[in-house]
Amino acid sequence: MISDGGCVVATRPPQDQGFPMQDQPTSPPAVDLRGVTKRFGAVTAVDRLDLTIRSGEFFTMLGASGCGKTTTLRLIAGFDMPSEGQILISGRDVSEVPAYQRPVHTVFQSYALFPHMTILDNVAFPLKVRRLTRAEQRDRAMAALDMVQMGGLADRRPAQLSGGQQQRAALARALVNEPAVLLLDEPLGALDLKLRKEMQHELKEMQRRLGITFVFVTHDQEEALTLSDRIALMQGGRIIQLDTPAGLYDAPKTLYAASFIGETNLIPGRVIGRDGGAGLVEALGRTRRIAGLGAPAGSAVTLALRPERIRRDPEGDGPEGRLTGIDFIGTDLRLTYALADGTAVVVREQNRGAAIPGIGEATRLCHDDGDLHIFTT
Amino acid sequence: MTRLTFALAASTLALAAAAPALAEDLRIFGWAGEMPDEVLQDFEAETGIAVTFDTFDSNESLIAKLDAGGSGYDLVNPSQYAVQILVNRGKLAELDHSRIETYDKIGPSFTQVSYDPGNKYSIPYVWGTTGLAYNKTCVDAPITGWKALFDEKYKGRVYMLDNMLAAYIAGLQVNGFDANTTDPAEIEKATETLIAQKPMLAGYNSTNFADLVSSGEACIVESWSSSVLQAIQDNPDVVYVLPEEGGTMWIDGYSILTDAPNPDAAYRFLSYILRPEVAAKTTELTQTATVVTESKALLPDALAKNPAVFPAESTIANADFILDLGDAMKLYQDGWTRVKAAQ
Amino acid sequence: MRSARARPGWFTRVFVHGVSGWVTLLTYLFMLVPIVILVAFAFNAGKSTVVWTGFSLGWFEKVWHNRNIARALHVSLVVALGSAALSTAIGALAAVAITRREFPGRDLLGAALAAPLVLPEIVLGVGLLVFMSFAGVPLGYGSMIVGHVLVSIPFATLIVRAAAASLDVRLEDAAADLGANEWQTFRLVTLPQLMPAIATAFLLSATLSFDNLVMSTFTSGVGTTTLPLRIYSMLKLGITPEINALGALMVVANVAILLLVMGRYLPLMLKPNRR
Repeated sequence: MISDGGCVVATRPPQDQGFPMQDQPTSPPAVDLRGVTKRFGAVTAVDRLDLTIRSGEFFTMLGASGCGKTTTLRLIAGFDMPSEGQILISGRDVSEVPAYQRPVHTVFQSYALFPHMTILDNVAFPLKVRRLTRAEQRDRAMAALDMVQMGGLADRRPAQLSGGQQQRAALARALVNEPAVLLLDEPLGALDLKLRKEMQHELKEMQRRLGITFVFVTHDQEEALTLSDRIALMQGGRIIQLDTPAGLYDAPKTLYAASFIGETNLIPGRVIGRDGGAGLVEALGRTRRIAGLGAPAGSAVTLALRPERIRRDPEGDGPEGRLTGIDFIGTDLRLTYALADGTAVVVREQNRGAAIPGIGEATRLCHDDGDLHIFTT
Repeated sequence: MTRLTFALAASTLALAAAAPALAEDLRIFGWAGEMPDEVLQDFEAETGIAVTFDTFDSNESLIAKLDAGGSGYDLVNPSQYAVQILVNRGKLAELDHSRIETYDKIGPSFTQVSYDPGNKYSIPYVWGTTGLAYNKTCVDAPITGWKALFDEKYKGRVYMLDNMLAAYIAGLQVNGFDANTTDPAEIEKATETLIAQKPMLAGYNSTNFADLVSSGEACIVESWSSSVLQAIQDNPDVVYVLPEEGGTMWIDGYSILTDAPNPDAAYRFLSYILRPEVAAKTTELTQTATVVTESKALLPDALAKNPAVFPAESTIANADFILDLGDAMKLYQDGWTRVKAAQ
Repeated sequence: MRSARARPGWFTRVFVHGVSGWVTLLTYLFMLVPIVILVAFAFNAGKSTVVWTGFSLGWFEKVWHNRNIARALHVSLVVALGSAALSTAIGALAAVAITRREFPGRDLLGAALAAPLVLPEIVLGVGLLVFMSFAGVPLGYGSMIVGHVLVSIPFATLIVRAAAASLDVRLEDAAADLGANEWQTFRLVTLPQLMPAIATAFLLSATLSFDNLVMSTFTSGVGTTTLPLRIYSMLKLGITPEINALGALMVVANVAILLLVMGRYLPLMLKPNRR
């Protein structure tokens, strides 16, 4: 069921994760969910989920709030038990295993640092409960703190640190015990934009270096695209598309996927007739033959077209548009055009220093047919 | 955390264990202020018996504690009507007078008390009267009887004892009834008298009435004799009288409990406190008369001749004891509730 | 820029600015004046508590040398420390169980622990006395500590419950996630965060026990007369400045505990400190 999107990560060799792993050419998946359902009363938060997360990959569960991504994470961590189905971690069934015995650690959105302990004691906590010697606790905790450049703040209390520093401390604490899988529940959600970008980079770097499987939950599609090897886009407790970032961005399988990921022009169209197995769709001032479109004549469709895939070309054959709005973003220009039928179309192009067109100026808007995605509504 | 818990536990244990351990123990449950600590210490020094002297605040508390059973005390210190109640409930042991070496020191008028004829169950020890005290500066003529407490002339400057039986003594005797009546009609009449008196009272008070009468804030107060002694000594204007209608007498004596762990020590204690010099010391330190007649000779005149300590024999003969009223107690309690609720 | 503040309405003017200030002042006066008078007359030279005859520390000296008061103080301290320790331990465990765990009878336990709050203490006292004599338990330190635990446990439980309810559950999730079993989570994460509340509960329980009269009346046994019991029985002789002196000392002790709780302990526990 998993389509390989040409992911580079899958070829990475398995790492030693201090957890029983079969010594076979293909290591078992880091996390395997089989028909997992979680109900809270009458509400089904996670609905018959089948999901395999490969060892060593940076896997993201993406979706709007209430889509079931956090519940799935909590099921993997063991904070909640599934109503139905099986959860395997590194090939071992942990469906009935309590949280504290699972080889996974979590980085919480709230950081969940213990306020009454120093940063060092926080990071040493997973080692302390495993009864390591004091010296060993200290050495390993300091090493973990150094890894996140927090060695100098070991004696501070959480309340004395900035959000970014707390985030690093929480990360060090979750990694100090070298878990098989690291779960991250919107860990960057509380940081400001600049810091978030920095931390994204560091997270990605760290994951690559340690080779630990990261299971990341976010509602921020840009973050998901930046970080992930693979993304599971979730809606209503189910996965609606599991793909690489490029696959999800360039080949959305549903209208929801197209509109949730990145900016997209959603242009209304209509099936005007049929030609064998194909549908004839009228949109953007042109009739197109869409192979495999099963919708009957007369039904409405939606066309999705990325703004950066539209070219302005006064000599082109596309429909004419009149400029109604300009957003100057710095690296980019975001231009809003109105077509003759009133449809608004956004065009995005890099700011190469060319003259910015004036409001009211008309031009033709062209695209390649391969960039157009058509969804029946 | 663990250290804190440990420290607490250790200090608690240390405190609990710090109680002295003598060879023999005597446990007394008595009124505060009627048995001087010096007497107890002298007794301990002479006999080597360690005395634990716990105090109660009322006869009712004493009775409740003993009713529960297994109190662990040897000697208790009930007032006269409490003796009757405790005897009826089988709490008090019959006394063997031959084991009290100084039994013959008890004054003749205290060997045939009505509540315990022949001192079968209790040895009377300290005694006093319930009468009234007044401040000479605010009255025209000497006060002689209860009726002054009901005189409109003194409206707002009269206090009654905040004590049911004490209040009824005045209420009954002012009407010419016996202070121990069980006649419902007489109790009813007394209740009405007390209700009628209420608007003119400054209040019910059984704690600092002596100070109030001494300062002149109160003119006439119903009073226990022992409570006003200090005020009389401090202020010659304060006078205590046993009212002509009678007044009452109270006696707090000592009784051995039927389940006393150490009756031998109890007998030795009784023998000790009835010695004239010990009784004199008690009177001097507590300003309360004892039943030991000979002790009067050992006292300074200020005490021996003080009518509030030793009233004239003739007036004593006139006084009633407050006794156990049995079932009639209910009538008193109902009446007292009405009195306290009245405006 | 000047902030344009509207003139307050009549309600605010009359009640918020006017009446409430006076009511507060009068309430404080009403509460404090008797205590001030009590303390003042502890220094009276004479035996009166109404007429001032001069300054003296004689009554404090008398209290200091009174063997019975020393004994009663000793008893009161043992009972206060013992009952507060028990009450706090039970209260804290119950509070954590009630706020953190689902178990049958949870609501009943919560109600049962709060029940002594609404039951008249005298009823509890009588009940306990009857039960003790029925069970053949001799009255003494044991019975009195049990009685005082009954009195203070609702307060201890409520204080710790409030603190436990406001704890961040996510921290316990985090502890479990990091490999701590339930006991380790409780000992290393939950308990340390509850310590300020537990300390407060302990001091409050100790104060309640130290000041208790009604329960002590019923549960005291041979040689366990507490300070309030001793004072109450001394009242038969009228109020002397000796009682004022004793009262003044108790006021000082209670205020000291209050200051300890408010001024010292809480900030110390909340502030980052180091072992």
